[in-house]
Amino acid sequence: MPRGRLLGWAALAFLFVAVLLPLLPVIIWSFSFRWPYPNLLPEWSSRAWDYVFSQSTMIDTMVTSIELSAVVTLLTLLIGYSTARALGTREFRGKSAVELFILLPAIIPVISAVMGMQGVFTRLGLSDTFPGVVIAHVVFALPYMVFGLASVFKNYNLEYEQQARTLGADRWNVFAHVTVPGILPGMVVSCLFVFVVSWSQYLSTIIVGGTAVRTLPMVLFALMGSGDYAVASAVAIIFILPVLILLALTSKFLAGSGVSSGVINEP
Amino acid sequence: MSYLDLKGLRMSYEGATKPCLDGIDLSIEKGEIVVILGPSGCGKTTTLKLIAGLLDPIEGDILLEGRSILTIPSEKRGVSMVFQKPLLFPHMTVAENIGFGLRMKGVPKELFERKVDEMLELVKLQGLRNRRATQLSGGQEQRVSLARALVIEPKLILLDEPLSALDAELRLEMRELILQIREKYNTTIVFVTHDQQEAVMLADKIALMIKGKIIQYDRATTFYTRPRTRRVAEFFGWTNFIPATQRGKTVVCPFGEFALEGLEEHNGPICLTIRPEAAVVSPKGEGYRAIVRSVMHMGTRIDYEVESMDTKLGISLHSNQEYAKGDEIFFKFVPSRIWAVKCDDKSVCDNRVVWENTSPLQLASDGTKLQD
Amino acid sequence: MKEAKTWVMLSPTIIVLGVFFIGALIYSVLLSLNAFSITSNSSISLQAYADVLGDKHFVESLLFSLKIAAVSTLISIVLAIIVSMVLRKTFVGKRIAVFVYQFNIPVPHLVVAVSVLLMLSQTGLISRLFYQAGTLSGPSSFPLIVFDQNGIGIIVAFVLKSFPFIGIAVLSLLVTTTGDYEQQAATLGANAWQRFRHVLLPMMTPSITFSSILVFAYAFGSFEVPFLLGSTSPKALALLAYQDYTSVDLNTRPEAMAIANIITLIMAVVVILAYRRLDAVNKRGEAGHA
Repeated sequence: MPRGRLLGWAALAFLFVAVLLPLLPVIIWSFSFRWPYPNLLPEWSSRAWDYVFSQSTMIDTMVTSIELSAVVTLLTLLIGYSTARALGTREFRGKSAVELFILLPAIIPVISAVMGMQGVFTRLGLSDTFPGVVIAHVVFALPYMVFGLASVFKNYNLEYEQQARTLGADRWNVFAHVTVPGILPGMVVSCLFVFVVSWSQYLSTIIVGGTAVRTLPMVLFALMGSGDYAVASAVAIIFILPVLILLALTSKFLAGSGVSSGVINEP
Repeated sequence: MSYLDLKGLRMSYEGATKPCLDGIDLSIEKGEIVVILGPSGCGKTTTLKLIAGLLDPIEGDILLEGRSILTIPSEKRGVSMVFQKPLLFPHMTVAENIGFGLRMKGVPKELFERKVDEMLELVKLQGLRNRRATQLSGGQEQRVSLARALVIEPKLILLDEPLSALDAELRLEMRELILQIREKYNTTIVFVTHDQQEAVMLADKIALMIKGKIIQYDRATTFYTRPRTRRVAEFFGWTNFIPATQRGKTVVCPFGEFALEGLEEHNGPICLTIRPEAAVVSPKGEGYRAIVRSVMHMGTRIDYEVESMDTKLGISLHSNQEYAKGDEIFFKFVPSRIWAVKCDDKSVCDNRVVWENTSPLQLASDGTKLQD
Repeated sequence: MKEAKTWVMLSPTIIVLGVFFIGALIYSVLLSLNAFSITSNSSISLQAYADVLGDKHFVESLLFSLKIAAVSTLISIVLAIIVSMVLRKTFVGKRIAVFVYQFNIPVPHLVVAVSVLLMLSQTGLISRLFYQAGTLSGPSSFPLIVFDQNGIGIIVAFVLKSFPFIGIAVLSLLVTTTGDYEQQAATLGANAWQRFRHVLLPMMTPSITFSSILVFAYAFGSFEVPFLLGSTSPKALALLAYQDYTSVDLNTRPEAMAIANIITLIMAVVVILAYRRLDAVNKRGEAGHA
């Protein structure tokens, strides 16, 4: 079908322009010393990258971001696991209400909740602390973990576990040898998205964390404000790199993920 | 020229080494119910999809009422299809599903309602008119799907394994419905199945498709009297295969000489095939002597594996007389239930007893179907 | 017995969200009603709401945010449907296309905003290309896409993130579930447009509705993107709230909270409307409509 082919190539071209082209100026800026208008190419230099990798504050910020998102992911998994399992494998009265409730942090914009959150956290002594930011991120990430895992459990056959128990496996063994391998791909995908949710948080980190926690998005934001696009671009690239690497790793791990993962993604 | 003609259809899927359909020729008359029967695998459903226009063949032609329909898109062919899964549109009611094709044609409301009601009555689902499609039982879904395909008065209806998902009772109901439809509307129906029983219940003619080729195309009873090759015989419950030699028009084997009608004159090896019901117990000392090697109770009949003159045979006797393992048994063959087939690609016939496809069909000695 | 266990399983999430999220919302409401006043004598009052609703900046921002959210969501839905419909058929390069399609989903909004700025600002890459091609005399001749009054740059940034998000869910549906139904419809005489309109679109609607709500919610309440790409006026709603919250004058706190709560209320209404509509479509059959 020649017309179908043409449309396919048109779609591909459109996607390249819409998705990949905007990254071009970012990459170019990151390698520039100056890039005055109207030049198409800048005065090349690696000063932005040198700066980013030499500054200890930058390294600290990167480490903080990674630590933060990792802890948030783990915590969200621990908190959300049993809930997801209940939603995915059981029917009960009030289920829709519970689902709506858990969905709320994903629907209600961060700005609406985060100021009140700051107030509550201050009273609890969590404001301006790392744990406080962790909790804030967990709150916004939970819907994605719960619904992601729940959808995995929907396709999960409980009878495998029942079978294992009849063969003498105790609860821990059932979990380790039957449940985890059964849900692993979907669980990894959910964790990945929660990581991204936490990684991308700006408002909650800055309001709840104040000066105590400095993450990459905050640095990026500040740099854009300062007008130093070169360094900002370098930071932006560093900002998305871990996410892209994680994505590449997990999509090798889950053949055909993305389109077939059936997990809710972050908007 | 028949109503539907398939000429030399060849079809292959990407990456496959062998073609899925390897030159299919078939002629179907108007008002016939033809079944394409064959083991599970590709080919049968593919044939239906080719006729429906959902796939394009690599080679070959499809003619409807004498005219090629290959270039006509699916929605304009006038060929409707009922898939294996009923595929009722989940967001519509039963009435909306049935009337879908009418709506696509732009049929005015009054006519629409009338035709939908007519169909609902035919399939006996009047009370479910406004039920959502997702709230029906399997059997009900199947009937709605059939009604939906029928209401647009297609030139041809294609059914993909219509009865396999149903239990015995529903199967009989659906069978009645399909026969009723043919009688009332004189619809031409082509359906595919891997189930011999299903085919025999409904077909005017059966086309046996194995490995992408149609091996035999005949009335159902013919398969039980004159299978063309060993493969066909095995598929239709001819249990015994005995190496034999053909001389002219007679076949010689350890059990004697048999003159078989309809055989081409030939000298050489051939395979004698005998139905298990062909054995009749004879008085002691007469006929062939055999020792019973194994016994399988099958309800009204008992299947025995016996050995006679170094040949293994499977025979099926009425259960009012029982033999045990090791017993001596005397029997004769009813000549009309003996046939000879080519051994397909093998030139040597090996002696085997094949029980897998014994049919429920009871045949009289002249090959006509007995009442169940 | 089983019910009890279910609720135990649900409890960690419910408790965490109950305390820290619902607690936050409640606190926000209380603060907006001036319940913790430290300055004046005051009692609980709706003064903050009155002030906010009467402020024309607020109304301006509200309409601006609504417009941006609605426009970007609509464009995203259309693009998602078109691209997914094209991509569901196999063709050479399809794998790359699907990969690029999903690429933006894990990319943070902030980065997309940055790249939109560097691309489409008056000194951005596109402007430079046009200048080099001779069709532009200087940066100010390039149309104001970023930092403009209409928020076009903001809309572009949202669309770039949102259409793949909606689109991947649609594509997944098209590739798995709907194919058979389309074939069935074809054998019943439906042409390509009819198949799309009567079979595909209805089957895609629940999925599209759900992802659109998430997309709309984000766009409506976003802070980072309008901050980077917006002009000084009109400001997006989130910016207004933030401004009031971080101002030195503590009296503006209740107003910040009031704005936050109004945002919450609006989102609640949007969700209810959307699901009412979905439910109405669902319940049609049971009510006996033909």
